[in-house]
Amino acid sequence: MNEMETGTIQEPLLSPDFLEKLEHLRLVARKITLGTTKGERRSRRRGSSVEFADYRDYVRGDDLRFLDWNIYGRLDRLFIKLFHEEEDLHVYVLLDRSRSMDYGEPNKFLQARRFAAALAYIALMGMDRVGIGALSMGRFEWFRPTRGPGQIAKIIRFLEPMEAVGETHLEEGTLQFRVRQTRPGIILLVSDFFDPHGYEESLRILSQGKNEVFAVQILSPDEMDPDLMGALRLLDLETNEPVEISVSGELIRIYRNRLAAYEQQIGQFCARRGIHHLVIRSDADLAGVISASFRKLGLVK
Amino acid sequence: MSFLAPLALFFFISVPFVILLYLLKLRRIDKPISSTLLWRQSLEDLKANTPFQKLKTSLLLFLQLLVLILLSLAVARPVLNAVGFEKRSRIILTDVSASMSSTDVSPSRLDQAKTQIGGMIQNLGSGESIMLIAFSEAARVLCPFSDDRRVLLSTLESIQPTGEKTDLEEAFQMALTAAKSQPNPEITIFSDGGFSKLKLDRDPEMPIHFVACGLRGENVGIVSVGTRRNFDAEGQYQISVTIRNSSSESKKIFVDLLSLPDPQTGTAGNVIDAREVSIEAGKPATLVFDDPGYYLNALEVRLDVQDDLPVDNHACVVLPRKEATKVLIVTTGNYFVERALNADPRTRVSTVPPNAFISAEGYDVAVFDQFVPPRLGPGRYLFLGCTPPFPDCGLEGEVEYPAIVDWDRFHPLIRYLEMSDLVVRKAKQMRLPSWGKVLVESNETPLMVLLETENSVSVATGFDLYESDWPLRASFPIFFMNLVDWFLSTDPRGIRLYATGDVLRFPPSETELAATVQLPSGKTREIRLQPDNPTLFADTSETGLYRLVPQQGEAILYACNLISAEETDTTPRTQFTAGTAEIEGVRDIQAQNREIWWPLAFAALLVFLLEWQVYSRKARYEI
Repeated sequence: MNEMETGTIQEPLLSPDFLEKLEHLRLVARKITLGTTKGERRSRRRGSSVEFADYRDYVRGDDLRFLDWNIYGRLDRLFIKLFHEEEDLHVYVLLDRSRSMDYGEPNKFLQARRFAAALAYIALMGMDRVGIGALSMGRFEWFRPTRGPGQIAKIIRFLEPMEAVGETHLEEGTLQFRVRQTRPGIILLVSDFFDPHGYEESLRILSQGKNEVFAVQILSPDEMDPDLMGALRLLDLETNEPVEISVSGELIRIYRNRLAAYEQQIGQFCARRGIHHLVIRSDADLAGVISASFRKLGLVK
Repeated sequence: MSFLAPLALFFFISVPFVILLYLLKLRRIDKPISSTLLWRQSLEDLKANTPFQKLKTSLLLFLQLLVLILLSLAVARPVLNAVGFEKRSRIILTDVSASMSSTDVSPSRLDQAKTQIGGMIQNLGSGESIMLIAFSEAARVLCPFSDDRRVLLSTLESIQPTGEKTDLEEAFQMALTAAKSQPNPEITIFSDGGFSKLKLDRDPEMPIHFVACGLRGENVGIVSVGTRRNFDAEGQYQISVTIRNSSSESKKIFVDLLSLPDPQTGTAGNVIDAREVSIEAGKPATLVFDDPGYYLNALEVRLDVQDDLPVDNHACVVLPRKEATKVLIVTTGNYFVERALNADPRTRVSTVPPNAFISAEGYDVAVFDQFVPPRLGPGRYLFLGCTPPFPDCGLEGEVEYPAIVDWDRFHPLIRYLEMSDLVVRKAKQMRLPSWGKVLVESNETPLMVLLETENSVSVATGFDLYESDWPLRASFPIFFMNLVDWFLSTDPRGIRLYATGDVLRFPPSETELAATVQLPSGKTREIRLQPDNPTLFADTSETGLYRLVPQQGEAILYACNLISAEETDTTPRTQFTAGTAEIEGVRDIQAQNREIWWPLAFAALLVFLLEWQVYSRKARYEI
């Protein structure tokens, strides 16, 4: 119940250890993964040309390849060439911040924020714009799309103190996001998808337009494989609604079937709309998951 | 399987209560969970599959219910293989004959049978009833159909062994009659045999159980005892005893003759004579003791032997009266008759002429010589040349030289007498009532007849002794001796030797008189003696001496003995025949009705222990 105990303060979102892994990932990603993806994406988005868009001042850390050496020769000043398509690649991370996420060991919400931070890091390093939306019923926090490696600190400041509040209402959050979304891009919806109002509408809204949507379902180990005994009164974290169960092998078996069917249902729904569906255990090694899963999906290679 | 206490099955209503309590009391542990969405759906799936899932999951509840059910079943006292334990009207015939006192099973055959019957009464189911009949010589309904256990048990307790013989026929007939009025009747016979084949046929629908009591026939007993006149010693008797050895080996035993303690004369019981006799297995032996002649009224014969049945190891004998037989002769003078009767030392003869005759009362025997008294009281009479004053009875017309064609060679009066050479010159034609019995028959008329009425015995001859040569024949004095003997033996006062179960005939008294009968066991019965007819006394189930003590006059002894080869042979019967049906005996009716409550109770205990184990393990997990 108390978010102060979820470890957001004590445990940094991106630990040095984790950052190291991400750095490695970034190096891998740097090997053109994003570029290729971008190219593919670009070809899809005919009309939005590869044209030169603008210059901007070089800041430390920018890719030296994009320095306009001609300008440097003429003006003795360092300018970075900005291309249209780079501006266009927006990566939106929609983070379900409902109370149901604040559950599990390791905590789903913590992992989800880490995931969001990691993706943001990768994307920022890849010169993409990263926008983050945190959604729960009646609440929407928006981190406006921003770019540049320097922004990661801001993003972490945005994510770190965030607490899980309210009920899940993906559709409402998605609509809020759509209002703010200016350009199409890659959208990662990170949630447990335990939405009593249904996740379908949300995904349908996201898949409209020219977005590339990833439905990232994060589940804790004890959600996937409940370790319960005896007569229990299950209390919903969001609604506090009780469900009385007496645990039996039969019930556990039925629950697993239900869960598998639920995942399958989401997977099927996503597949029909060109949405990538991905299930992440909260105890999984995030770097590994990002590298393996997203490589499989073609997000990174 | 059936239940002896089916009411206890009502404990089963506690089962739903426990389930209810369980549902109410089930303490669920609160567990916050991210979302109950899937659980809700899962529960719906589960409920669709198994409606009572909540209960099914609880092993504890299951075990507790199991304990409860097992205990309820145990309390209901289930019995396996319950022969005769369906809802029935049971008629229980209990043999109380002498042989049931055999001690080959402890404490006795009858006690063991009573124990078994007690078990049947205890196990009496609802809607069932039991009728108790005891039988020996006669059958008695001890308790009509009843379902009151207390009444039945107290009745059962009152069953005592008798010293009587066995007669199943009457009891069985009684049971069959009683069975007709009852639904689902069933007859159970507890007996050790000693009865012959039943002529009655059983209803094939009706179950008949025969519980064979007893294990073996280890017994030696007196099967016959009697007295006869000692022809060597005037006025004395001999006692003959027949002993049978029904055991499987030959026996050498002492037979003692004892005088009984006689409170009247103050004599104590002493051993008078003792003989050793060896009897082969299954064979009888007869001994004859001489009357010691001490004018003892009663003697006892006792076998000095240890066997299963003590009741037949002794027999009592009451010797015929020692005082003289009083004979009255009503005659104008008959030398031969007076001579013949006076020859018998046991008789005291009085003679009275017909015109002086008033009454024959006070005499044992009255002889009417050609004189018919106007009225005939109770007594023993001999009519010579005349007939008793009965209607349809009389003499008319004369017959000359009737030829004797036949006589009753087996009647004690003229047994062994040669009557064919009797010459009668003149006889009278005799008219007889239909109930008259001809003793000597001539070609033309009966010569000697026997007329027995309820209280008198008359012998009549149709000829005058002086018109025949009979007084000169050897048969004449013997006839008179026989006459006195036989008259005495038919006189209720004369017979003192009975078998148990016989009806004692006490002699008529002069006026109605109160009297006490002392039974061998010391109990007393009050009776009233009647003036005209013998008084009957049937309570003779005990062996030994019965003392009739009238208010006035002398006490009279009667001996009742178990004189029965069947009872002495105590070898238990294992089956019997009723009509055409063979009925096999079982040894123990309880053995076939095993109660199985204790395995149930034991199982309940085990389950209870298991439940405790499960509870403690579960608690470890949950806490």
